[in-house]
Amino acid sequence: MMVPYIAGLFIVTSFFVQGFSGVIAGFFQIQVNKSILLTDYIVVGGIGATLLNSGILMMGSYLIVRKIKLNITGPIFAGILTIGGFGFFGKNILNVSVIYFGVFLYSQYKKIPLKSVIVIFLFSTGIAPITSLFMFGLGIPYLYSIPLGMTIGVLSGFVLVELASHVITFHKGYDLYNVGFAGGILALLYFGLIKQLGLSYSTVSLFSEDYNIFLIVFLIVICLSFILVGYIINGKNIDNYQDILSKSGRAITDFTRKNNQGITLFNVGLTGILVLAFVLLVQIKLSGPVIGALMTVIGFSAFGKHPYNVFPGMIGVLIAAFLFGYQPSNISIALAIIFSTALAPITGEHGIVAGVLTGMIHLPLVLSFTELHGGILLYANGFAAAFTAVIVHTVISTIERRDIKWRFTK
Amino acid sequence: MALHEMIKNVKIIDEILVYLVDKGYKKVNINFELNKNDAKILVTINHPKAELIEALKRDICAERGEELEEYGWELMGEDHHSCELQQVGMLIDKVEVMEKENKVQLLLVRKM
Repeated sequence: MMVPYIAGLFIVTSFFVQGFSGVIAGFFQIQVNKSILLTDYIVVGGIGATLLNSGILMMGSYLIVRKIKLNITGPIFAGILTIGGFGFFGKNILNVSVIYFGVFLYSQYKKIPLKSVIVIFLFSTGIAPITSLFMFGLGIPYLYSIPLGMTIGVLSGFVLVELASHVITFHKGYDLYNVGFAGGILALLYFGLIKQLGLSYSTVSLFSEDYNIFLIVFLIVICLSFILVGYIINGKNIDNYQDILSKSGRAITDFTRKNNQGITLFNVGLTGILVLAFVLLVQIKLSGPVIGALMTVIGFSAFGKHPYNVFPGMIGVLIAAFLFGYQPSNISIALAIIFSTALAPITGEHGIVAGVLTGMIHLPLVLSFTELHGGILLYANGFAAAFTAVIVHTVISTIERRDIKWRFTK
Repeated sequence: MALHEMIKNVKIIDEILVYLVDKGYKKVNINFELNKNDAKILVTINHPKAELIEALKRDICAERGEELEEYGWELMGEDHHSCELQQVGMLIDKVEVMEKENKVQLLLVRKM
């Protein structure tokens, strides 16, 4: 599934765009940043250091997956690309390792192989800023802040496995970023505790659009590579693409099954490039968070997303933004547009109208939820999407009768 | 055996039943056998429609996915529209679709 090549491309490119010493210094700055939403690592450490951080995160995760003798299936591909994407804004080697260790401890404690919880292992890092925040963001002396940050991070990873499994039934699989929902519950708790303990930290809205053109070209190259390699692996045809397009995408849908790796890669590249085109069409410029969000879409195009089910929700968010007087270029709106694809299964199952309405409901929810988790949760849209999914699914179930079905796919 | 391992078997049965009821079958026999090393589920459908065998062969593919052993299986058996049985395939090691006199039998084997 090309993961090591993509990770390698990130690592190699990093040293061409920022010089060796700049990359190393910036890389260190990224590791010791408090890393809450919205912190663009391009501003913190530079473009090269950010690419290196993202590339190492993907390569490290890939090596762990291979070490435990797993192949790169749809969910694993989505997990690794998501980590790489958030390697641009919020995840770094330090805070990810701590959460990973927590999930690893859970598997040891439960005496189950790590491979059986690898999906949650990969997605668990959405709560990673809690470690960085306690270590470097609350003004606590390092003697206490570092052990405290590590302890909270490990505990978070430890409980996330059960929590993520538990909450998936809440939204019935319509929120593809399910671990974001689970992490959001922990983030609510942590943010509440921080406030009650009288601790405080400044919020951040840091992003850079200086590398817009470079990032566009970079992403196009990646997407075209996926399309080309997928086309070749699939026997130089796309005859079976309808198999993917006919699926609702509702969790758990792994497009790579039944020897569909080739056509899945094709879908990954095509969905990625079409969503990028949409983003550019509505005049969103690429910053660290935006490219991170786009990489998440690319990753999940092996695990539920395809061109038929992603756009109605995005259009819905766009319509709501205009109704509420926001510009799509506003970074929060831009992220809501891209991350609304978490709700793609609703379009896949209930159709375009339901998809557009879902996007319209999602925007006000995600904007209000940010005040509840204080930026500790990176998967803010995934958290809000769970509630959007419940609302929409409930409304549709209410409308449906035996003789009135709101169906789209088979 | 952990309790939730047993519940996974029950959920597989749930999912198959939802699939068949959704296709209009009103009489389905399910035989569940729990052995030391595996669990066997034998589903018998009397008077199947002509397209059922093809649908079962298309929709269930035994591709045990170790990475999904602890993620998402709770969703099985929910009432949902696009029932594709992919998740059942990810939790089983062997599937057989057998055509007998005026009935179809589906055998699922899950190693424990």
